[in-house]
Amino acid sequence: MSRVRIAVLQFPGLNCESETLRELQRVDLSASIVRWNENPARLREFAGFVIPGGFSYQDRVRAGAIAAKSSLLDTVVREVERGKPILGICNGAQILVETGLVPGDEVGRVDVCLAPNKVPGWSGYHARWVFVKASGNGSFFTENLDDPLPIVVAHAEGRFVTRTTSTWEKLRQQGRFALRYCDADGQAPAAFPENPNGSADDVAGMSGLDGQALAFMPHPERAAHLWQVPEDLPGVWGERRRAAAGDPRALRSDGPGRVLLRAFARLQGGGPA
Amino acid sequence: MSSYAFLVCHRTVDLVAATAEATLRDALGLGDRLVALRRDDAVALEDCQGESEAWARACADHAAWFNPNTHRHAFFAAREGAVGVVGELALSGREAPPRGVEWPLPWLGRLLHTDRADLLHSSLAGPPDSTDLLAWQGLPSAAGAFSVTLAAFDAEDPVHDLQGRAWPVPGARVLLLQLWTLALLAGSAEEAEEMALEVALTRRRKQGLLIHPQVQGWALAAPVSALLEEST
Repeated sequence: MSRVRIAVLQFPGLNCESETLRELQRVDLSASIVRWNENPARLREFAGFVIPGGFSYQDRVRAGAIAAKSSLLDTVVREVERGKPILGICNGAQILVETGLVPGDEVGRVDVCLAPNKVPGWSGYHARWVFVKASGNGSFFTENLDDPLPIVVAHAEGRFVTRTTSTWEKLRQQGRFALRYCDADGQAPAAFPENPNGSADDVAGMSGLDGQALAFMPHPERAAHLWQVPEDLPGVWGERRRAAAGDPRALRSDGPGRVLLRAFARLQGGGPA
Repeated sequence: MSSYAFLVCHRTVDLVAATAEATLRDALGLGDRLVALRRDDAVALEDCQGESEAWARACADHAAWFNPNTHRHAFFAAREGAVGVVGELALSGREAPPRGVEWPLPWLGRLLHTDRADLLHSSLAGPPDSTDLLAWQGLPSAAGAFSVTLAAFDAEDPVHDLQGRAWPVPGARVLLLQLWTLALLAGSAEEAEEMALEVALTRRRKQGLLIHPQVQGWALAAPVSALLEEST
């Protein structure tokens, strides 16, 4: 049976495409990088898409704003509307909300912004390990995700914001808050640093359309191997990491981020989810 | 209590404005109707106590809001009777531009300090008008074009305190603004304003770019002005 084909979309300034490609290939997907200036018709060959992290177009005007207008995304939007899954990681998440695929009540309408981090006593770029857990109605990427996942965040604009509280409440009722920051036990965090950006309701990932789009601020590709997990991390994954110390084979085994990337493998057999 | 304002622009090509200009032309369909796009940072300081010269010197020396190696600045005392723009904008709401509150022109009353030698001897040294703002921005003259300037600000937390510097007297209120000026070919000033709002306010993927109404407030910052072609 042929392997599922996933396109990693690259725009100028993105800088995580290589490791994202590599980690998709390691979960037995046939992944390829498709650059912004290639023929968009090529995208129809793929069963799903990933927009990796970085600084597309140097974050000019606003993170993700310029890439969202690109002609490559004209085709991507059509394919995702047909049901193909798309994962936006960090800057990819910012691009997805600027395209209106997330939340996507009306495709193309921009209802959400990923605003600058804002927590008491702290602003600007922040990088650390956090925990996330599945929430709401979930998404294509979070099915069967029960335990809290430790994962890396590294961003300056990761706070999901809507203009009106009524819009936010609607998103909550629709179950759009697919992944939320939590502590190692899966409980809601009290504040920073467990919630690293001040996002309301601790939202780390927001789903779009019928769940096939996910704008996710943390980087699963940076937590794909057990050796990447810090030894002093609390929780189950920290215990696994400590137990694997000195065992190269165990250290090369699946890390928490790979759980999310493996979701694409469910497309095996062809066709969108 | 005195009020001040200053403008900041790039010394060389503003790559953000250049990228935005290309995107508005090509991806959002403005084409040749967009003659030029300029971006300036603007800062309003209200409730300032102490001597105006001390404030001008402090703002230039501290370079709190610009890098003197890459940016140019001009610092002004507000005209007498200028409306409190910080309060007006902060209270105006995100979707309700305060008509009648023109900015920054009423605030550019008396030039106190600048690193642009060309401006020291220009009319900007006196009470400026919209022509002077266009001169500052270096917009090209073009028959049938109008300039529309929009000010964008942080809608959640628009007003800041002065922090972390040896200011003449602490306690002033600060509003940070981004000014987007579009030079547009249009049949009338009203049409130019409509076009500017259409391409500036991000409503849909292919509608709007410069300002995100989900997090930013905005206001029409200056009267829409005709950019007359030079008769020479």
